[in-house]
Amino acid sequence: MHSRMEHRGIVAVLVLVVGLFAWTAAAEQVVTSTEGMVATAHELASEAGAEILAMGGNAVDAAVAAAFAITVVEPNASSLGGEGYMVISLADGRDLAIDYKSVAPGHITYEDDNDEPRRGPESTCVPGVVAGLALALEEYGTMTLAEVMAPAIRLARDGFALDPVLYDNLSNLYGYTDSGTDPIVGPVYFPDGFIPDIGVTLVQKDLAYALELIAEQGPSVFYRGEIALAIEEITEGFLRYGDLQRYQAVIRDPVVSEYRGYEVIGTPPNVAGVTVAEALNILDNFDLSPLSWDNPTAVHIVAEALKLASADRLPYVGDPDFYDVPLEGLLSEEYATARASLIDLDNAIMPTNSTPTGDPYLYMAVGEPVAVGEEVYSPSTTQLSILDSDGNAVSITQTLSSFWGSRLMVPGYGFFINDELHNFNDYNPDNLADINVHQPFKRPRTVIAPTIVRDPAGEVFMVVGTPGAGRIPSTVVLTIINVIDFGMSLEEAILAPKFCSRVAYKELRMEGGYPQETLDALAALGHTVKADYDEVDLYFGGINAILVEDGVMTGVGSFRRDGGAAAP
Amino acid sequence: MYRRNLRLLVAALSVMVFAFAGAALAQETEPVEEEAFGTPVLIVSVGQSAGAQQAKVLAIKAGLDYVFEQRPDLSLLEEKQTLILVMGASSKGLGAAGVDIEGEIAWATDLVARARELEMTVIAMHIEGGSRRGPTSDQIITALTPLADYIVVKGANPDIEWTESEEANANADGLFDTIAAEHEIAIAYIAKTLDGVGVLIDLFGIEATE
Repeated sequence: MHSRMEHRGIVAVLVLVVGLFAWTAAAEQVVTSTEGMVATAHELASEAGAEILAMGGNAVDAAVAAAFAITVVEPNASSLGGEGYMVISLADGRDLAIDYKSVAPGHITYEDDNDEPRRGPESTCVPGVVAGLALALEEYGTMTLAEVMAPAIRLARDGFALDPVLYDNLSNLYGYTDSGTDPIVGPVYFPDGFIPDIGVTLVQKDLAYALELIAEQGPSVFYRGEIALAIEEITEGFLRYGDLQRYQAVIRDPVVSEYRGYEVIGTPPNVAGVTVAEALNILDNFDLSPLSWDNPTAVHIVAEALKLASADRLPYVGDPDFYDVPLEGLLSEEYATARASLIDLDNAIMPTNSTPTGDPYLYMAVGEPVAVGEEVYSPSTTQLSILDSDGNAVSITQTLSSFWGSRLMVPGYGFFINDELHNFNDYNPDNLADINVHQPFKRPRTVIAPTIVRDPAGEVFMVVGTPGAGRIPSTVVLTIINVIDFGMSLEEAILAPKFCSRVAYKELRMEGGYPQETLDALAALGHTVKADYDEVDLYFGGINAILVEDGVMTGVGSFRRDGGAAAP
Repeated sequence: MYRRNLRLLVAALSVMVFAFAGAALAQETEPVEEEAFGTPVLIVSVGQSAGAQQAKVLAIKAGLDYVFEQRPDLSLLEEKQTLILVMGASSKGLGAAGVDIEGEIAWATDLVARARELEMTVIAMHIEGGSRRGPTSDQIITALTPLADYIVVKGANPDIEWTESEEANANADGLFDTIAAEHEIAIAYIAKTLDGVGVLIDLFGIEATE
């Protein structure tokens, strides 16, 4: 049995050894390879994953490495104090999902008001990132936690050049923390009282220490050790040691559906894999291939399918540990056909009040439909897509909820805690059937949708996902359609203008770049078109994806958020 | 042409020398004997970036008698002696304020006009370096800087080698030099944001707080 000092030494050696591989994997925005691929929102996280692939690690090893690394280089959008969902498709045919969403603390009651504050201790939920990544590695990886965490530790300890995206986010944090004077955050990011310049080496020693502890002791130090105690202290007991002790990530069956002969593997409830699958199932009733991405009929049909799928999400998709979600019905082809029959090619369905909710129970065992409650999501999330040369694929979406989460940093450990609590609904006695009201240890419903697509031959075809809050399902569906129906390259599919259609929005929100005649035609169909967004607008997400064609992998880091792809 | 130009030029020359040489030299340089700028000062943001908040920190460190308001009503100019416009565009900040860039520039132009009616001195400050240069920030810079009596910029003095990172240099293209020359405005260059403390100390003739 190694002593703690010996463990620390082993971690240090591993950090050095893994670092020697750094030169093998330079990230760019678009990369092709036959040896494996990692695409994330930051080139350094992609390189971290590629390092692990180069060392012989599989996609899960690389995914965990990249996921820890992204918490260092994109601390505003992902953190040890955050949550996430992972979809894994293994070369041996197994598909699975790892749910490491946060959970509400144990003391929460129906009567608690979770709308305010959206910052500070009372906005937090028990984080899941460390448990989820450790579980994935333990069950499906081939390397140790210390080995895969080495790149992240190196980035935190030795620092990295501050990039323009993080600079902008630090500028916002400067304001959030009273001009950087917060006694915990200030010394970490604003040591001289000012925002560091782009290019300055950003060192996060406390975060490095936290990562080293996890690397050497495993997730227990986070959930039952000194980090758990520190979380309880900084949240003033809102998150209790017992809540952290109790937390577990969960392996679940993914949602699997078929679109044009391609198998779509997505997240089960209570996130948006069901919405993506249902929308694609509805669209399978229409032949879009003769049309184009900007054809108003195509846009109309896709918009209506997304609207109908989102309408079903609110009453039916809840935490599966609390509710029996009618998945069989929601994902059935017959149900999709019934929903598709509601699409009028000449008239748009008005969103919200009149968008019909279906009854998936008609297509499965008897159950009772529930009423609609609505949430507002933060767009502050990150996507990681990984594929190895054996055909193992991983898609992860990870988040703090808002950028910088609760804005509460755990002192001495250098990471922010999420502000996920607002993703629940308040208890409403007039809507007793709302399935997203906060309850002790419940997971809040959100819209993340990491996805893997297999081609008709059963090979991994696409690994995709995006940040973007309510725009996530639309952006994922449009990216898939752009490739499969409209024959675009991955780069084209990602760059092509996107739109968002969902019941929570009164308008059809369209990114800049659609022809005016398309916008006019959609308005004539009855859509309320909101088209005052820029071209390549971050509002519509930041897709990081991988596409495989003829054995060649193409990785694309998001154009809307300066992502990067890297290969071993 | 403003009556204070000669005094401003003297102040500018001494400030440029010490600001670029660093804090140690600043302690050895004699401060400007005459107080060129008056207090209290109103610090505002034009563009709603984090630059103004950093300017506030500079003011605190300098011991300046100041009022900070990100985007004030014109009435806040009353009983102030100097207006500091801290320039830098943030789409998030402008969005939060509910204004577009044209509206922001129009408001700031009105602010300067009112400051002139009150016989205030105006300082145009850009202290976020090259990180805060771009089409929208440049609209602000070209519109407002010519209206100022004095310029403070984090960027390269054309006569002195720039040793900081290129990203920190807001004057790499000489935009501020061009404006200063065309409009005969005194200009101070700083290499690090913290150097702005010394500039304020010297401009306002106050004792350093650290």
